[in-house]
Amino acid sequence: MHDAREKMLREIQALEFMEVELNLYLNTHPYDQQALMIFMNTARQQKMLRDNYERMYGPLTASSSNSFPWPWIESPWPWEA
Amino acid sequence: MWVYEKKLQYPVKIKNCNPRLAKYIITQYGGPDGELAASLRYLSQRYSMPTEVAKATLNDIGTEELAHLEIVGTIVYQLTKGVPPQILEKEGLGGYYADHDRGIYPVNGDGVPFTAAYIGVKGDPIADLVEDLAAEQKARATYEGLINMTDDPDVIDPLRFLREREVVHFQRFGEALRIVQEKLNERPFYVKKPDYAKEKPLSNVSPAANIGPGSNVGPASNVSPAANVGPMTNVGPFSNVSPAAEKKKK
Amino acid sequence: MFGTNIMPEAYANIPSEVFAGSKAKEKAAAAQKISCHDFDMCKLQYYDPQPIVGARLAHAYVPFQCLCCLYPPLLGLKQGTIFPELDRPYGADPAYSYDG
Repeated sequence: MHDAREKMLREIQALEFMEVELNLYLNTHPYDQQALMIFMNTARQQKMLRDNYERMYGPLTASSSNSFPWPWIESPWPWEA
Repeated sequence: MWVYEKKLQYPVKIKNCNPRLAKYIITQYGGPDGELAASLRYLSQRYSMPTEVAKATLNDIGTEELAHLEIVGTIVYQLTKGVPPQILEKEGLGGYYADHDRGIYPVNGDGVPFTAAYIGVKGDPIADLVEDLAAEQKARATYEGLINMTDDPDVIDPLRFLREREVVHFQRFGEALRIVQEKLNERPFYVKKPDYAKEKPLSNVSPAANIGPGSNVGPASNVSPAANVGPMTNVGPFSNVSPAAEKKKK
Repeated sequence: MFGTNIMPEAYANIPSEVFAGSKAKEKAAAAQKISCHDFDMCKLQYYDPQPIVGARLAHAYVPFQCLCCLYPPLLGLKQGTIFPELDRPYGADPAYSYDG
C-alpha cells in the first residue's frame, strides 16, 4: 500500500519535473514548437496521474482539498520519510 | 504568487542519521551559495530585467530554488532526526542544538547566520545575469564538495540531483544573457540604459490625492497616492482604485 | 504567436536553427517518437553547440541549446535533467581530478 503510493508519487514527480525542465527551456526558446507540443502532452498526462493520486491519497495542493474533515493538514508532509 | 504542492521535487529518504554531515549540508540551506540565497537573489532581480525572457527565466528558476531549499531542509531534518543531544554535541552541533533544538535555521557550515549580504541585486541586467551564472557555479562546486564528504547513497542521490540542476540553470541563465545582450546591443553602446530623465511619469494625474467632497472610502480600501477620486465616489472595502478604473467610473 | 514564423528583432542575430527546433535528422526521428528511449544513441548524437556569430569584446557568451531528444521522465528525474546533452554527472571522468 505504502509502496503503491510511493510509486504513484514518483511518477507524478517525474512528469512534473519534465514539465519544469521544458518550462525553463521554453522560456529561452519561445518559438520551439516541438518542445511546446511535448510540454502540452506532459502536462496532460501529469494532470491525469495527479487526479488519480488525489482521489486515492489526498490533496497535493490546498485548493484541491474537497472532503471532510479538512484533508490538507494530514500527514505525511513531504519532509517526513 | 506561489502555490505549494505537497511533495518534494525529488524524493529524499534517508535511513541513517549523520549529524556531522548535517552540519555541513546546512550550508546549502542558509549559506552564501545556498538555495535560500539563490532564490532570494533571482526573485529580487527579476523586477528590473528588460526582456520578457529574462523575467520569466529568473522567476521560474527562483521558484525552483525554493523547492530545492525544501529538499535541503529535508535532508538536514532527516539526518538529525531522533539523535540524542549528547551525540549532537559530540558531532559538533552543540551550539546549534542549544539555540535551535531540532529546528532548521538558515546558517552556513560554521553556524554563521544567513545575511542578505550574500546576494547582489545590481539592477543592471548584465551584471545581475553574470552574477547568477557565478552563483550557479558556486552552488555546483559546493554540492560537489558535499558529495565528496559522504558515502551514504541516500544522501548522495538528492545531492547529485541538486548539483545537476545547477548545471542546467547555468545554461538557462547563459541563454537569457545572450538574449538580453542582443537586445541591449541594438545601439553601439556598451550597455544601453534607459534615460530616466526623458521618460514620461507613470500616470498623468497630480501626485497629491484629490478626494472630492462626499466620497465614501471604505476601511480597507487601497487608494494609490496618484489616484484622483472625484465627488460622490463610493469605494467599498478591499477595493484598489487605479487611475484607469477611476476614469471608467466617471 | 503560436504557429507563426514572426521573430522579434531581439532574436534577429541568433541563428534561426535554434528556433526551428531540432536539427533536421533529429527532427525526423523525433517525429516518430516523442521521447528517445535509446539513451546511448542520445549521448552519441551529442549536440555540437552552434558557433557564436557576431561575438563582441567584453561580453560573455553561452551557446544556445538545440532540442535533440529527451530522456524518459523517470530517468530524467534520476539524472537531474531530461536533456542528455546537459547531463554532466559528477565524477564520471576518473582522469580529471584536482587531487591527481
